[in-house]
Amino acid sequence: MALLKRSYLTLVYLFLYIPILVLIVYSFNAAKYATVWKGATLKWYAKLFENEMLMDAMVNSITVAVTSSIVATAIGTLGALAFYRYRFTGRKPLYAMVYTTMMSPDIVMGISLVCLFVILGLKLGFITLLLAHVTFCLPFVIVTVYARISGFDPAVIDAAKDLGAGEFQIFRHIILPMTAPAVAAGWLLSFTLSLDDVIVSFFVTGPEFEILPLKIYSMVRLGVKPEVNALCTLMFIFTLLSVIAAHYLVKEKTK
Amino acid sequence: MGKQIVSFKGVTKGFDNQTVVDNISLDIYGGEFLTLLGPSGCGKTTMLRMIAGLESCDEGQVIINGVVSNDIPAAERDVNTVFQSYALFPHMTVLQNIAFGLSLKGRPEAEILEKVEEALAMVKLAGFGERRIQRLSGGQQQRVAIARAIVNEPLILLLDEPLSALDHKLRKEMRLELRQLHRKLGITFIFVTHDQEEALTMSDRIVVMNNGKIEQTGEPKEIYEEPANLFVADFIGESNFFDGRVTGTDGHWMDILVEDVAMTVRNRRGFFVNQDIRVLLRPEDMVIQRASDDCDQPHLKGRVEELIYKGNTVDLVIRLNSGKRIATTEFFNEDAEEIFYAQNEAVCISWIQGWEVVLPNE
Repeated sequence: MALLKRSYLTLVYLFLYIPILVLIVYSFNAAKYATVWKGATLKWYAKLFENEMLMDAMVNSITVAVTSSIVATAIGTLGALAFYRYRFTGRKPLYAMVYTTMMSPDIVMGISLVCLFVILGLKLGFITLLLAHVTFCLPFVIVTVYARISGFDPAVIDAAKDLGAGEFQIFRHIILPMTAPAVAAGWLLSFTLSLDDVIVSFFVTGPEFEILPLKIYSMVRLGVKPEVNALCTLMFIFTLLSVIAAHYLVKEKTK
Repeated sequence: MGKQIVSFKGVTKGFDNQTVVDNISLDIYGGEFLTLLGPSGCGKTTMLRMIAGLESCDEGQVIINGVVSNDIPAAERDVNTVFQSYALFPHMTVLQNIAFGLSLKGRPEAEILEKVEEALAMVKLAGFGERRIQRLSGGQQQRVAIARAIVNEPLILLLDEPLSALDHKLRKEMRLELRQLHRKLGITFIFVTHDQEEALTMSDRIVVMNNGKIEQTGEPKEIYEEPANLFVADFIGESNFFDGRVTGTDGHWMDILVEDVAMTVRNRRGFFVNQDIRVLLRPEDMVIQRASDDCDQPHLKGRVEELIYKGNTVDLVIRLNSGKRIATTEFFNEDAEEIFYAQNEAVCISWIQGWEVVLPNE
């Protein structure tokens, strides 16, 4: 029975991770085509950093990811606070609507956003991309932060009031430090979501503002280049570190 | 007793169209240990929260230290609370928790540290300042919560069922400590509980509440020995109730018929002939005699159904011949005869004349 359990789990994880392992292994493959193994090399990594177009796209991607995740975190945290602190009619349906946007297909969001931007007469580029990324990151931040604060003993806020704290002091000394791990986790989540988004970005960005996932997408259409393997390996490692960091942030300091 | 420190004047409060506090007027005096006692949902915690400023009243006035305080926010009231869940700040150390109120007031750091140390010593946690809240036991968290409140030197300390999360032994210890703390600080304590034993052992005065109204206010002895109505009699302590009827009155005495037995009891409330009454007797006021001994006084008859040995007392459950069940308690003492009874042994039940409480049967 124990053997069965273990082998079942092994299968699940093989299924999940074999494609990624293949990618990582081939990023060190000296052969130009992915079909044969010709010894280990780091030359694709070197080539990757020489590719200016890719590097520019990377800078753009990181710029969008940093700004959109910060904006989404600020708005989302305050939104989650509003859901926690205030009781108003329609609170529950509104909160359910947060989930709806989270679950709605990227393609729907992408097309609806591009329609909106065209109607508003916005030029597709950095601004539209930023707005779109803030939009799809927002619900994730709200849900992450709300999940944490809704677990707080509401008497803690009463206690702060009782000891003489005003609204701002309650936010600054009680709510913010207590939610900080969730806020950080929400930010990291937004950052990674923004960094690897393809579908929404495909619709809302313009030709002069290229971002990494779209660049890779267009490169791959002409066949997978080894430096793309190297790039994807780096991105995977980065994501892995972010996930681990987010996990510890949420876990730490909880009661 | 000092002057009034808190006055409720015709205070009404409701939630979602349900009245929780119903037109209550109550004076609380400076320096007293007052307990609001009642079953859950009786409005006692809402009363406390209105004093703290965490709840506003719909009608009436809450006057604190001579000032109508309806619109004064909690942060500006000279009142501090110990919450049922303690409500300590989990991201702060013990010291930071206790210092929170003082540092908000912008007191100099040296003064804060000194006062925190003093408060910690007061709750017997000296040297615990740097501990994290999560590393403390329930009893220690409780003490930190008390220290965090008293360090601000409030006029009134509010305690919202602070002992309910502790185990039995610790609860008894804390009762004593809270009493000592009250004596040491000399400020007003307002304590909320549903535990009648807590209320009786700790308070100077008890306010018994039910359904948003005050049923009785008085000293513990008064509440226990002379309950004003059936609710109080039933809620405080154990009681045996007998239905009866007045058959004759004679000044301070009256003849009554209880369980078809004629008895003479005190008439304290001007009962009249043929009035339906209820006689209330505490288990420890019952006098049990073996039927084999000659029972002289008028008595009820019954049989021992259950004998519960409790160390310092023996409790009996007796089934009266009418089928009614009653509880009695007998204490061991040197000159008492054998107080063990055989199961099903026939006994006579009476009580010391004048110790009964007679209430109109509404």
